[in-house]
Amino acid sequence: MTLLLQLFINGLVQGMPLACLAVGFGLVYRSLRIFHLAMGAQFILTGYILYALMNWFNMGLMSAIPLTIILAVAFGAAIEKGVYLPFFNKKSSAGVTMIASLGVMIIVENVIALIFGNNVKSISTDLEPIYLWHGLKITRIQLIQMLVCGACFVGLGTLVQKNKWFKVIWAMGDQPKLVPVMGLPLTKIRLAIMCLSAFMVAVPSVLIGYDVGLEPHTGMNYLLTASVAVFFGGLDKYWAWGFGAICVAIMQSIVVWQFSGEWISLVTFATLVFVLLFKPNGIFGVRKRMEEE
Amino acid sequence: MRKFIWGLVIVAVVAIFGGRAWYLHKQATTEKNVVKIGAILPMSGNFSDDGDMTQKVITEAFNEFNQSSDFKLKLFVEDGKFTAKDSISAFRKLQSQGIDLMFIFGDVPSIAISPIAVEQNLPIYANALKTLDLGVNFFPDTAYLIDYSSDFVINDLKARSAAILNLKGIETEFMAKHFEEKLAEKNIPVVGKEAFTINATDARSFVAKILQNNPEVVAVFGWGSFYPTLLNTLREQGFKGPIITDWNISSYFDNIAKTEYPTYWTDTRFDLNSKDPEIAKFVQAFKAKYQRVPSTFAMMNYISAKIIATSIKTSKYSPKDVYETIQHTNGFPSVLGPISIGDNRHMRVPLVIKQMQPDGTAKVVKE
Repeated sequence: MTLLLQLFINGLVQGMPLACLAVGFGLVYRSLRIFHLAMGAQFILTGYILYALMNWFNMGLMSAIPLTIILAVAFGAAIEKGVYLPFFNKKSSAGVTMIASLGVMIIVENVIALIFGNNVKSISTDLEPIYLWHGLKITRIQLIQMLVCGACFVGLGTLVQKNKWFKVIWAMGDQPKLVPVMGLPLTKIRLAIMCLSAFMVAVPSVLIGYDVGLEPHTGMNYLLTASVAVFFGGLDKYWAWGFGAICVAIMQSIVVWQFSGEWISLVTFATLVFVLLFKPNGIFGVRKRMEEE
Repeated sequence: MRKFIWGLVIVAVVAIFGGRAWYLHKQATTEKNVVKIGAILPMSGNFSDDGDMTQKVITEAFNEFNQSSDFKLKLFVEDGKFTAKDSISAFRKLQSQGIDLMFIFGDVPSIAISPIAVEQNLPIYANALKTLDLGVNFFPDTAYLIDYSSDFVINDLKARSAAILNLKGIETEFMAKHFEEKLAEKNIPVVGKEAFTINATDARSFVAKILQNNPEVVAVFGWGSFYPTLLNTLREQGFKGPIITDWNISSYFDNIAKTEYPTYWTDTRFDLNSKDPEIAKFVQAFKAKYQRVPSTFAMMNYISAKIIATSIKTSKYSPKDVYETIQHTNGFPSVLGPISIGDNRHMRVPLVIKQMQPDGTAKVVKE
């Protein structure tokens, strides 16, 4: 029973960074209608920026993290300005933009491998302090991940509900074509979405990179899990992305209880397919009229 | 205008292909005293670091040989990307270039190419754990490695229970199975066993599960980004007993937490801080030339290239005789000790057990 509870807690903790990644993916997918594969590149690049700042420029962890996040957000803006916006202006199809996004990811992945090598890089190899409670274990970095990512997720969710500009960003996902009609600055809103998405990816990337190290080819794995969380919860509900992320993370952790860990991916995607068969819009998805699609 | 452009394109294509054919023909006729050795290495993808290092050391070994030989060894490298499909393509491309002898890096490529080699009666030379149907492996076989590490766990550590974590893969699964069998022979129970994939991210759940039955020793067989995470998580989650692993650990040494708790692995005598003058010379020369430190793999591939070169000379360049000569290698002098090729056509290299020290260095604890 203790093991089951421990696995549940591990999943719950992992769910918070995944919720942030789900927001990073979901915002772009919902508002810009882009299957944001370049998010995988953002994820790995952020970790490597932190590594470079600490090892090449001898910056301390606490001073390197804010600069890393600023640079990661700038990279998100560059993707919008250099790739997504030109394709949008040329009225390219979603498939074409997705291929371009995949291209960004492959380029970044290979450039990172070229500069840093394919071997694993660790930001810290120190063992994390561990806290025990009735036989249950949680490490300091797990707590930080849960609190920081949880705060980012809840904070943005509150802004989306309360703040006028964040409401516009969310509303754009409902009716993207109405934004220019209403006289709102479409280009600036697109840029804001990409920056916001990059921020939500950068925070867990830094924390996960610090926890488990960096490798140039791990981006796609996190990206896919984040996309599963979004579709699992339901595309049109912000809080459902978090619910989806926590469910997926707990499921991935609990699989180990009865099965071997090698089946984690299979169980994750099989569950997604199963859920979507019965609830095509996700658990909390809202069925739309045809003209709303 | 359009016809003119098409004409230009056709002329350009004919010129490129014609030129290439002429160049290859010229090369073939002018290089009579050259033995062409093809190498299928992972020059991109997850193992590109090993591929790059292997290319460097083979080139180094051949250059040393060529300086004192009237015939020359020429290396042709193709990127197999450590995948079956790309390695077969690389194999066919090298064959079309008239390669005399083929060196293959790793299990996945050599297993994929092995049936073609048998069909064509062409021995291949690989550094892989899995025994080839036709060819020689410049690498100890899994059973040989695991016999050594399990013997250490049984007789030196005197473990009464163990848990096993292994990467899902041909060699690592065999390692785990063979390790379990060796322990079973001595009635030592395996109280936890888990396999992980190379893309796994959460080590804490695996570790929580295998530690619940309090194993005395944990054996870890694998590589990839998850491998050092797993070793660190075992310590982070409070496991203070011995960890035994394979020599892939040397590639991840900088990524593993240094603790006072014992972490052991099977390895060769190669050590970056070795006092052995020949090893020290090799490490220094490598660092000076390539601004990086060589791995155990690099050292072994360097020795393999030397064995190939010597055998080509001994067999007077006959590919069939080269195969025979390499198979009968016995006591080849090297910095790792005398190298032989065993009955199963695998390299026999003297093994040692090393232990990680709290200062991050390695110490030989069993020879």
